[in-house]
Amino acid sequence: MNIIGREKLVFCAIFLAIFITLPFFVGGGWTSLIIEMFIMAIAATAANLMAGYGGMVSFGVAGFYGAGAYITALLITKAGFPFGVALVAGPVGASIIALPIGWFCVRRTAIYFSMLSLAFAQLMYVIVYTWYSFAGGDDGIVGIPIPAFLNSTLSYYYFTLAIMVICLIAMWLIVNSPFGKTIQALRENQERANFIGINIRRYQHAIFIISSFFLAVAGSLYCGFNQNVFADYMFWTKTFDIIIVYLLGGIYIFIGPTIGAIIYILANKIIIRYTEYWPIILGMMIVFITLFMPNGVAGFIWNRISTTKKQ
Amino acid sequence: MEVKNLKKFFGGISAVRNVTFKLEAREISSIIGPNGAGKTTLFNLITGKCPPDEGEVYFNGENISRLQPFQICHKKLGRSFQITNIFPKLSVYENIQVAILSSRGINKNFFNRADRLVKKETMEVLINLGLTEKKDVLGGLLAHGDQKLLDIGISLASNPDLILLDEPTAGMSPQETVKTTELVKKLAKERGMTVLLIEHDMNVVFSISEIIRVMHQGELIAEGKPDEIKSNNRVQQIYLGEQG
Amino acid sequence: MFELILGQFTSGLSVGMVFFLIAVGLSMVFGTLRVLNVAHASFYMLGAYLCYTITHFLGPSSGMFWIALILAPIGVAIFGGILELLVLRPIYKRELLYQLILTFGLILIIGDIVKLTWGVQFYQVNIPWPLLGTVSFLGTRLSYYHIFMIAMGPIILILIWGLLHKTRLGSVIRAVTYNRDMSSALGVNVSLVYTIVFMFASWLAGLGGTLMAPMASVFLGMDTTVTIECFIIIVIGGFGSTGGAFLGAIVFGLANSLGILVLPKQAIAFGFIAMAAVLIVRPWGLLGKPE
Repeated sequence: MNIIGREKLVFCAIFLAIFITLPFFVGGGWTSLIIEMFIMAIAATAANLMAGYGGMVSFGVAGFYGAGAYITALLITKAGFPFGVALVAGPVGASIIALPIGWFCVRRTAIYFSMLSLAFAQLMYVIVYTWYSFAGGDDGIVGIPIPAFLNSTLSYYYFTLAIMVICLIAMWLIVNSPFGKTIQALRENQERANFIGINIRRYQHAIFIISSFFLAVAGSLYCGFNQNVFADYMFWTKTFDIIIVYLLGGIYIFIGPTIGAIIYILANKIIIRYTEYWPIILGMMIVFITLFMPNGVAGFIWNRISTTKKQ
Repeated sequence: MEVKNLKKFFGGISAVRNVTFKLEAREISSIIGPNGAGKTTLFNLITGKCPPDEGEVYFNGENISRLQPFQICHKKLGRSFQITNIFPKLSVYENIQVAILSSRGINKNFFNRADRLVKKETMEVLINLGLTEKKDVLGGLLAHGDQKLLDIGISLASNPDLILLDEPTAGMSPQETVKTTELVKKLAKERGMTVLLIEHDMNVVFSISEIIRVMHQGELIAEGKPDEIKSNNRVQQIYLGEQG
Repeated sequence: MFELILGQFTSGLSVGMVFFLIAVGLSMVFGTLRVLNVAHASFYMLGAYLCYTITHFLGPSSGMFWIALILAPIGVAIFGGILELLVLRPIYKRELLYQLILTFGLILIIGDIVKLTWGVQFYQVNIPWPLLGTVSFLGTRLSYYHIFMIAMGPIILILIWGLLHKTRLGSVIRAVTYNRDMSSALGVNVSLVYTIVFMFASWLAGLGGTLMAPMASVFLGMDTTVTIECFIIIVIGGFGSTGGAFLGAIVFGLANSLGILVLPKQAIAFGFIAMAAVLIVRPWGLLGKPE
């Protein structure tokens, strides 16, 4: 077990080294792309806390992602808050919203949970889409100012990288803590968990809120990156993007969603350059992964490594 | 533990009718009866899986009739299941560990590495179960007998004062049955546990029980020491007679 | 004022009937196959496009619509059957998440297939003879086509009910819905039943698309205009319930069209509020059964 631990650490160090030095080798366009990957990695890992670790598939993850973005945007543009404060307020505010929504959602299981989380997210979308005076309606909010020191792609890159590393470490600690083990037990067998003294609803509520917090971090970062927000950030198609990313990468491995984010965004940007038929290619990738690689790319690689180790 | 006038109906059927009995501390006893006698329903009523329609359950003087299973667990009342009920994608080690963490109340902890906690206690349980070699195997991949053992292990892990074992040796080979019976006896003595078994294997029942209770069609029809029960005509007629 | 309300009422009801056709298929597939086919609305879109092609096959004559009404849904059903055999079968035993994502992938694939075949233009299908024109009713004019669409709803409902309750095939389908393993043990070819139900559901969705074509344009993205709405309907009506889909569709169609008169921009919220309310209070829907 210890050897694998050391290997993981080496892998992470290499990963980090690559991303720290990358901007010096590639152009600004690529740097922007990688920022998007970082943000998606945070969002997908956050959503996977519920899906892969908790067995709870939420169709409303875009709602909290968008909530983070909107709260940040509104605080900056309507209330004149400084960027740093707004960035923190985004996730905090989203968590507060997650409190009542999560309370209702965790009282339902399986498909009912999924549908209810979808309903709430769509309601949030409608509120933002129709409230023109406050939230900009379908025009969204544009031209959001960010501090001067972050105003270049390069600096925002390192900013996002730092936050991503912090978030991933935090989420990793959570899933490996006793709390994390409890959540996994709930995924495996709710009834048995009940009988060993676990208050099912309370724990599920907690992971719902935590997941929403980190989703909102991603949303707030994206708001700063694009310097705008649109109602689309909350629409169900965004939820499906996130779900595709974590499935693509692998839901039972912590680094899975991050790998999924890299592959997804890379594939998207490359393929779109050559053809307008990205949807059908993505669709076929999805069908392929679902049928043949249910543990995702990371899961597939991990299985290979494990079997070669045994030999 | 005391059960008073317990009744439970499902639809029009009386699953448990007016059952009353008392368990003394440290008593090892069994409940026997033909299938459908209401034994598992009785367990469900005691452990909070379903609420009684009438009657009460007391544990250590406290009325636990309407509590949820997770609350009852924290009162030190544990239970294993007739159909194995484990955490399939968690390893054997993790199955036990999470039960111990929960009973200690440590599972709200966010930032410590779970691995390092309760290692000693987890290994102790695994040694008792004889599953140390398989500690990293995923629960769902174990053989049936080992899964049942794990199920019992999970209930033992929280160190309950009273443990309810629902057909612990069902589907086990004769060797596994002996192993399990010895384990229950040993741990009961060591920890001063009160044990209540539901069993169909008469060898196990008679070798381990100080008191045997017989249920038939939802009612408690006999209660006493093993010899008394063996010679009870009605019991023989209803139950043992059918076996013979 | 009254004319406006009545006009909205009839258009809401007729759109509701189309929603019913799509939603009931989705509901049946979930009830029997236990799969939530997110791509179901793509069949609706396919039906509309096939309707366009068939009606314009020999020139834009409006008599061809009736031929399209028969052929287009059948075409969609055949497509659905092939899809079920090739792609859907492997995932029946899998968890919900995989089914959802796979069928979402199908939305993307079918969408682009339509784009490759028909391009990005909007197409029009004319209202067919003899349903052109309007009739006078309570002081307002109602379009014959709307009335036709409204009539189709109950007709199909009765057709489905008859199929499920009065035919041998129907009782087999109901048996498989109720208990798959038991039916299989009794010798029922469950796979075949699944394919038949899926094809029937696709047929219904294709029919919906064909009926809708003269009312609105035929365009890419038609599927996403109805996908979420169908979820709302089957949640409210109850997963697996035919009557529920009918009720839910009517309620939804009317709530939408009448809601627009009251609170135009917020009208879309009502559906989600109703959906959330049902899930919180009575998750199996108005006419569904608790599991």
